[in-house]
Amino acid sequence: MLKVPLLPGACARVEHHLSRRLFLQGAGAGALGGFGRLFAADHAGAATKQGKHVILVFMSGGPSQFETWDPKTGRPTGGPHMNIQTAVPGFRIDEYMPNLARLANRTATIRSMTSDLGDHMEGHYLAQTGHKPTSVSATAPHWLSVCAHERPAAGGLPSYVVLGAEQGGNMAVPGPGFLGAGHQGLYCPGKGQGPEDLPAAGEKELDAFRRREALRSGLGAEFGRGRGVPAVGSHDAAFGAVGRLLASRDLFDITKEPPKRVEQYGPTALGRDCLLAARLVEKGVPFVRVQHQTGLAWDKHRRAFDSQRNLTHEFDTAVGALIDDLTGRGLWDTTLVVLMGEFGRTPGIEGQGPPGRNHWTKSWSMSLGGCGAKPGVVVGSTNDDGTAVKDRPVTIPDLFATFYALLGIDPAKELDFEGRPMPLTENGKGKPVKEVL
Amino acid sequence: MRALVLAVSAALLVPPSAGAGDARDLGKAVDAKIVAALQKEGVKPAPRAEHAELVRRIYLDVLGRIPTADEASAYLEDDRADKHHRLIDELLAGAEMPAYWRGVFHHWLNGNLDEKRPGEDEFLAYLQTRLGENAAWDKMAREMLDPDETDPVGKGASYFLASRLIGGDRSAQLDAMTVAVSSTFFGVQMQCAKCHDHPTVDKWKQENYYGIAAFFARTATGRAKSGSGTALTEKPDGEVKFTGRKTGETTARLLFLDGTVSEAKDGRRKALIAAGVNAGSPYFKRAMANRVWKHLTGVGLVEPVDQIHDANPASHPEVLDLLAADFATSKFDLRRLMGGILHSEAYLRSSRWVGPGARPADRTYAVAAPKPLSPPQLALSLAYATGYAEALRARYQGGDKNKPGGAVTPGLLRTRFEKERDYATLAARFKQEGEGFQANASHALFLTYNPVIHTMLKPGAGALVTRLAKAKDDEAAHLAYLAVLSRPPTADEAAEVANYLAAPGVAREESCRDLVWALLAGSEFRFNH
Repeated sequence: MLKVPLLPGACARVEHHLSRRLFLQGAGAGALGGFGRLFAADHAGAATKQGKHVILVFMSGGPSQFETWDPKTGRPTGGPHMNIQTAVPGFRIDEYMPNLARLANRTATIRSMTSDLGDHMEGHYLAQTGHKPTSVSATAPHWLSVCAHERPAAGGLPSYVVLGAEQGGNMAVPGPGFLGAGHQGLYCPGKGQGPEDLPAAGEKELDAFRRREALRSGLGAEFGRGRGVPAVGSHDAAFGAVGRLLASRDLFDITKEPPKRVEQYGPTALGRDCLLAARLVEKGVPFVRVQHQTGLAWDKHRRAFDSQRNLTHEFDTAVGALIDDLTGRGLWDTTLVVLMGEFGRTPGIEGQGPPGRNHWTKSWSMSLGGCGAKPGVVVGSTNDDGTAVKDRPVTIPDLFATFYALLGIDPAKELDFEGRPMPLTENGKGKPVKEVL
Repeated sequence: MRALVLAVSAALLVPPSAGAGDARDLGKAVDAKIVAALQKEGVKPAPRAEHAELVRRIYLDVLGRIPTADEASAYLEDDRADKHHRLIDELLAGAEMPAYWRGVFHHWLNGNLDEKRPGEDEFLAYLQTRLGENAAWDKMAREMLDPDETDPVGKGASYFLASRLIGGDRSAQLDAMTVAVSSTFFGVQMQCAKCHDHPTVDKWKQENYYGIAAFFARTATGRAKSGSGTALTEKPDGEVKFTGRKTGETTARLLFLDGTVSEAKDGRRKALIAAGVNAGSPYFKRAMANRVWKHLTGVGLVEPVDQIHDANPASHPEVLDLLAADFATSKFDLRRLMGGILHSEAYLRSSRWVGPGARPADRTYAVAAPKPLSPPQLALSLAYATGYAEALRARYQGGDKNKPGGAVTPGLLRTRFEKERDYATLAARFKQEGEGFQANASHALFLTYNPVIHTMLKPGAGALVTRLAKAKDDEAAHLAYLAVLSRPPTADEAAEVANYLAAPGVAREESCRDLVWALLAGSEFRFNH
């Protein structure tokens, strides 16, 4: 069902690549000597604990603002859900989010998001790169790839880990784009699992891998000459990543976590991944993307209101536990947690058959917190029926500028791609949401 | 070489037609247009790829696997100047081709289905038979849109629509049929137009999406008249209604993409065939021409392949027009279309760019794009390279007590292997979703540690690892390179290999295994270049 409507411009082949020469210098300098640096991961935690982290929980499908952070109970557009009081006076959210209601004085909520791409895949792309697929001159990187580029992990830990993915390839979960394969998120299949096929930890495996990898990259060097395209670069970079993973094998092992900690997150795939995200952050991985279910779970065109309860409940349980856990471990002040999908849903209760809501980009909500984001603020509002933003519209470029500002990355910064300046947000238009800073 | 050619010729399903030369002419016509565009840009294209690169590329693109060491040697030793053209014609006409291409077509037609559905095996058999007969593409399209339940082969085609009628509610089923048909047969993707007029294509209104849907409004499944299973039916009534932003609730007309409104005297799907499946309609011929071009060169003339519309022009509109027109006038001869592309210098170019200047974009076709092996190509190539194919062949040959095995042809080897769990595991991991290839660590982990790879690298009769372990150091490099990379090693490579094998402290068999792995896990193997 999922097709990827990549529009012209987005599919322009990017001839930029991880320079092979650079890669070889880094990974293989002095025969195996280069591995020494890459494998010395044990001290990584200490170095990055001072740094900042991001956990993005992506709610694919387009969560309804009416059934999450902007209820209009009792209005014609309100739907059957009730709302509850949060820890912030006067701020009420959906009845199935008791944990997020309790934690509302630690998080910030934006009720006046506005965007303009109502197709799932285009929306995914925009909401994770800050660029429209039609308007980029080179494939835009995921914003967490940008973060990995700007604030890489110390000591050979992965800078960016992807836990589960929505179907739809590079549109649903955009890759590193023009930044090249070196800034690609390390994929884990979800449900709390680490990367597939990692062998048991041990010096023996590590030695054997080093020996084979030296042979592999040595024999392959000639092929790469004159074929320095991103695809080929990404293949070789992937083997470099394997070597680093072998050296930090228990990083992904949530069975090492005490049962009590596991329970708090709830018995769901999302719970496992949120726990793994917290573990990774605690161990020094700076950036983690968590996928909430696959198959566009929040895309409730039909039979929305009943099934929404279960979805919202598991989301609230897992994300609530994540916030509590990060706070309890002293990581909340350095970890930005972002909860959002690609757009919102129509005020009108539409659809054929059992009712639901369709895609809506004009006015929607998201939540963020930690890493110095001002706690308890509610930014912007929609009108009584939620059909339009009433005040303080926030665009996706604004939102991205806010993320970068919270992470201490200058939102006005431009990256370089083959001598061309590449702004972090579309046309460099984004202005941080000051209310959150 | 002679023996090889004879073996291939004996298995010819489709005699090289009198038009084989014409396919080469088609290639030349394509080249003239590509070169003209390059001259305008002042770009001198890369030279033709080397022999060893071409034999590997042609086998991968036509048969979906690397050549065996013997096949590669035979080609490399052949000194005829037109040997690549001959190889293209031979492989295209041979019996193994449809066993690979049925999977390619299945992927194009049904790749977006998330799981195998009842009738898939019959559909694959249908595709293989028709591709083996070199059936015209318009005939196949008609069979898929309006299957003849009395034709024992043709009825397998009903899977294409019937698979979209399993599960989901009616509107989801209708959507699945509409999207599949417009994407594969007509090269357009109209999901945007479902909810509103298309944002970038002025002439596509919401009405166009529902217009295609209307042709399927009455399509359902019923019990087959003969035999078991289900058959496609068309109910006597049923309309598609939609709510336009301005127009309110509207009953969709039978509206084709070019604006034709049909009456459905003989049934709605027959009306769609009449409107769209013919040489006159630009959509039908362009869609397949562009897909085949993309499959063989790596980059579509229009990208994405199902966004062929005014707001998304082709990189070389004149090439697309030429291929589409030739495809139609050749009565939708798929092999001729493939041959025209394969014989072109644009296809045969080197993938290496040594200058001058920066590497030109893939879509200029100045230099070949390295193509990552698709999951089917990768699985079979791994099996052939490691010698695991021999183990499979022996197993399939054995048959069982009641059913003694017959000759295991390469085509049969493929279709049997495709049913193995190991194959499915590998295919799932390397599945590419969406556009743009990127390897990730999970690919590298698979190639290094997954049990499927361990199985393939196991010593045994026919296993490359075992043959290497018995060979002398200087022969081992040659054997390994020819089996895995379809070429002999350079002197430097041979020396590096000998050096590795001679190093103390590692058992001979293990170091041979390391060598095979190192070549399999290299970019040169991972890509079709």
